[in-house]
Amino acid sequence: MEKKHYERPHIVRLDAGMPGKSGLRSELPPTTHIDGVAVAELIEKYGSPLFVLSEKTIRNTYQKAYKAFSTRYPKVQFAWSYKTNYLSAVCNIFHQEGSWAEVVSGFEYEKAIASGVDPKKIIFNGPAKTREELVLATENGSLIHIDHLDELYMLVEVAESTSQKPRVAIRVNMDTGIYPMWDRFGFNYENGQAWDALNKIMHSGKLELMGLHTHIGTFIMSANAYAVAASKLAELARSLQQKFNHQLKYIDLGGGFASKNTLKGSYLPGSDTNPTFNEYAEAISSALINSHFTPGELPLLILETGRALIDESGYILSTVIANKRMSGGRRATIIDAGVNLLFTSFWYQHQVTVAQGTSQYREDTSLYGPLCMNIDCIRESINLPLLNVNDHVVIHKTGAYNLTQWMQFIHLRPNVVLIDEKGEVHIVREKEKLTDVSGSELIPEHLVKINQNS
Amino acid sequence: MPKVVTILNQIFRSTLNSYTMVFFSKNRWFGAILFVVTFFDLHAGIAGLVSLMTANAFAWALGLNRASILSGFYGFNALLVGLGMGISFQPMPQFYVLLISVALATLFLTLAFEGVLGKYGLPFLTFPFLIALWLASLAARNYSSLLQGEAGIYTLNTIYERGGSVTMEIYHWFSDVNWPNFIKTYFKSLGAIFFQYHLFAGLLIAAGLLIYSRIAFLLSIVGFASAWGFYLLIGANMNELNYGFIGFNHILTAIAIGGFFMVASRWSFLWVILITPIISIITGGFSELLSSLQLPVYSLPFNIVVLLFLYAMKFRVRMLLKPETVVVQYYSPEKNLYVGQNSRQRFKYRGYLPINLPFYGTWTVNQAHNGEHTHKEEWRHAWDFVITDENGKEFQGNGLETSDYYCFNKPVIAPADGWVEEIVNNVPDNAIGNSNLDQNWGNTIVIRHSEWLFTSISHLAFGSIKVTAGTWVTKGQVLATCGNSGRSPYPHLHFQLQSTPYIGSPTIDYPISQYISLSGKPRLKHYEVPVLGEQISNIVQEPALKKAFHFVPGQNIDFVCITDDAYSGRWKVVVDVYKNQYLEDQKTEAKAFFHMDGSLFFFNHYEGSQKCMLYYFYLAAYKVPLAHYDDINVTDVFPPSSFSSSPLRLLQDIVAPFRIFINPVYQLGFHELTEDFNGNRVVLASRCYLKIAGFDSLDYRFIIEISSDKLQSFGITSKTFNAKVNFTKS
Repeated sequence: MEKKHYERPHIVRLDAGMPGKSGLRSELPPTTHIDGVAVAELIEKYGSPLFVLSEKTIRNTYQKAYKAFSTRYPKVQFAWSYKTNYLSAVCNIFHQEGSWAEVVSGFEYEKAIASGVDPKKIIFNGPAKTREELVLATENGSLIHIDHLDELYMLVEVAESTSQKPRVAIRVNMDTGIYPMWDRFGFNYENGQAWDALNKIMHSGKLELMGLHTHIGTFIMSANAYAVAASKLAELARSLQQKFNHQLKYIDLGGGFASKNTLKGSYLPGSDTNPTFNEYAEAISSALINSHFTPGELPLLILETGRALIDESGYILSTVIANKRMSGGRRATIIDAGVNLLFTSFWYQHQVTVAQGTSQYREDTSLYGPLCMNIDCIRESINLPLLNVNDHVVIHKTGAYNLTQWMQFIHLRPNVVLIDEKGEVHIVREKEKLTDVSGSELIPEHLVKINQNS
Repeated sequence: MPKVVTILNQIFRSTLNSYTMVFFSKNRWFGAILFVVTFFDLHAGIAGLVSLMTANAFAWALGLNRASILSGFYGFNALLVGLGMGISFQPMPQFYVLLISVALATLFLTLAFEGVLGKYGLPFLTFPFLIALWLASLAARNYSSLLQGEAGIYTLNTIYERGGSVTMEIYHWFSDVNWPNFIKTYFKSLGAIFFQYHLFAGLLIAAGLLIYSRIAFLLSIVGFASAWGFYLLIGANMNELNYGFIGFNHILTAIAIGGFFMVASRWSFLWVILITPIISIITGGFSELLSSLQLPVYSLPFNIVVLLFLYAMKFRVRMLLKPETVVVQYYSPEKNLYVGQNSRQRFKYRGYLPINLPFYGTWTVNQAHNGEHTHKEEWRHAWDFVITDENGKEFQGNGLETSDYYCFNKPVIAPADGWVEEIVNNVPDNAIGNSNLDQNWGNTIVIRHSEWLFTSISHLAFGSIKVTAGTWVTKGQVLATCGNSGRSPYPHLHFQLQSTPYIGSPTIDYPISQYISLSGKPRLKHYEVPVLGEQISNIVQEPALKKAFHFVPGQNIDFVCITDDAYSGRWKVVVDVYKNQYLEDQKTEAKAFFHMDGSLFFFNHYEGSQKCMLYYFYLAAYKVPLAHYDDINVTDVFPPSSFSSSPLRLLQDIVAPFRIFINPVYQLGFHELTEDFNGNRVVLASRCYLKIAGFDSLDYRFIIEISSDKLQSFGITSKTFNAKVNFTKS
């Protein structure tokens, strides 16, 4: 018989009246296994903290999203947003599912090419493309999404010397009725910048205008904003058709779909309030289908969704380092994963569960990371069972952005493992060693020796 | 100069075909043999030629259908009349005056018979010849300046006089040859068709018949043998066969019914035997009647029997029962059998109006034809569609809300162009589990695609219909969304085809023109009926393929063969008055007939040289779906006549009515796809092979490359032949 889990003594106030406005206390079951693999075994084998990705969830989520669109619109293409998670294993799962690549820098572009993505299926976004990168992308036939007029002018110059015509689209920003309105990227729709840029492209004759792109923002909680965006792009497409008899090949609605994470300050959990793929798909497809396009000539619909496709597939497994009590009597728990790994904890209330069975008792706790920095707080307030040192916790929905925005800060970064569809575990990124950090350092001659006298 | 050549060529064709058309053939070698045979009697041969050319010349001058003239339709009766008169009268100017007049009369008679019989879809056969020759013979009895010919009476004299001693010896050898009477009579009867009542002529004609068609040759023997047998059995006057050589009626009838007008099969052979006594009765009967006028029956029995038989066949309700009527005439019993059978297998749905699936993406058939719930009796030919997830579930969550169901509120699109006939848009959606039996069909759209074809889509979401009655909708246009109204306990789409315009009309059995079946290995389906549990999706067309195989009449397709001394060639895209489209090789004039129905490109027929590139292209692009899917193989079967003659083919022709063992297989797969917004590059790999008893007797592999929306290159690999061509302009 397994030894019973020890829980420290504690005192809780008896709640007997009406529940507060936050409803009943939520009690999440422990997460002992991920895709059938025991959390304790994972930590034992690969160390703690540990990033875990579920291939099954990634593929299921992708297929669900694809189905939501393909049952509503005849031509749909997803392009995997590299910045969301550019681990090669993850990118390749999406490419295997049929995704193109959406990159925003020369580095990401190079990474996509190295993974074997057909250059013609790479969408090159971003406000900071160098001339060399533009030349390369042009020669490769990649789709270049122009962000500003200076880039447009540079591309026209580039086109003079390249053997291919650059294949371009412009990024359009617009008022879709949401706040904040993102207007730092691309050309504005309402004030005519976008139309002006399109005219410049068409009149230049040097660029091949393939489509229109917009990215209205991130974590958009209203599907209707996309309907507005789609209609506005469709209007631009109609104007191009009328003025230049030019038919666009695609309309790219960018990304920004909300995942199931709960934003800080939200009243209800994100899994209940955030729009589903179906709602986004309904809004976008209806808007496009009801626009002027005839059924046979609907443009390809490209989606660069990142966050909503990967967030739920990622977990961080962590271990309790210590429990302590703050000056005000509040409980605090220190775990070995902090904001160095979980950048998104700045805006999400990440769901955290324990990895082993506990009693029914919960305690309001602050969850801190291992950094020697005041900001390193995973959850300011969370109801957790009474944890002991060396107990494990699982942080949920961490797949998006964390593996690209994490920092080698104070601690080295841990292993990242992928559980495949058969339940096999693969390391997809090895934990860092000292040489990974200091290996690329150079020390001037006079600083090599610390003790100058010896 | 070229104009003269053209005219000479046309005269040549029309003349030669007039000879072969007596045997329903257009084979030139056969024509040459028949031509020689008629000249065994030089005078008769000349008379025949003059007569047929007169008829053809008048036909041309009067502006009759040139295709008919070139096919020999207007010449063969005149030819027979000429031959008959040439035998009967001595050559002299008066005779030729009469001959030309009779030839003209024959032409008029031909037109009269064509006009009258044509209305019933029947051939005029040799009726004009019969009438013309009878009347001319009767009338000539009063023309005193004509002299009766002696050829028919003093055979030996005539032969000696016209052919010299060599001919005489040949004739003697054949007369003395000790062959069974049956065989001798058979050959003589064949000769009798051209008024040459001797063995040698018969032998030559038989050889020609064998060259023209093995099936026809076999039929001629079967027809004759069955006549022989019947005469013996019934104790009829054997002289009719032995001396009157009237047996040719049996031979011609056998060819006509056994393989020309009907598709050759064991059943057509059986009919040849069954019909023998009828021919005999007609022969006997009319011989008696006509003997009072001292006229021979000639081919009257053949004409009457074939017409009676064909006319009787018109009354069949079940047209496809054996023996089948030949629908498209290829002037060869082999082709009629091979191509006819192959076409019926390949194009059984040619007349169908294409109906697509009424949704986007992949849906699952949850009740099919003759379903267990409601698709019964008059409404048995309908489908219910839902969307399922990877676990086969139709809903997420607990499925208690309509919105839990994947298909709920998904767009419903027009399955084909048409007018909106009727809509109902105001039935509320049911709660899960409830059925609204009062408004059984729920919200429904009926679309009229033609005067006899309607689609009806039911259980749409309340108020979701975006079109109004009377409007025109185009294929793929969003009409409404899937709902849960009417007799619908959970959201699904009910789809049916009907021939009347009402909501709730009885259904008709009608296939979906094309879709992808995703249950198991993906398969392309053409004109099939989705079955229960099948996951199906509309075909997404590949624009590159669609554009590359869109051949515009007048367009020239030029190519250079890069493996063979830069040999170059050109195919012309032609459309004829009957809307048949074909590629024509400029050098060999070979024709590859094709059809493109928007989702499929296919060749339906090939005629001409089997040595040119067009022939290989016909084999390579026999059936090309205009959509790209990995792992999808297209297969088809070629008719045996697609391949050149070989001993095996000879054997096949002989046993063809009973068994076809040459079944060359066509396979096509998608080899490579490089996507590009300005036209994907697609490489198609196809194969054409023939296995007989496990032995590879033929195996061609082809590669067709398409990029920039054009055909780029085409390669052939086989054991004996390798070539690659690049298309230079298209």
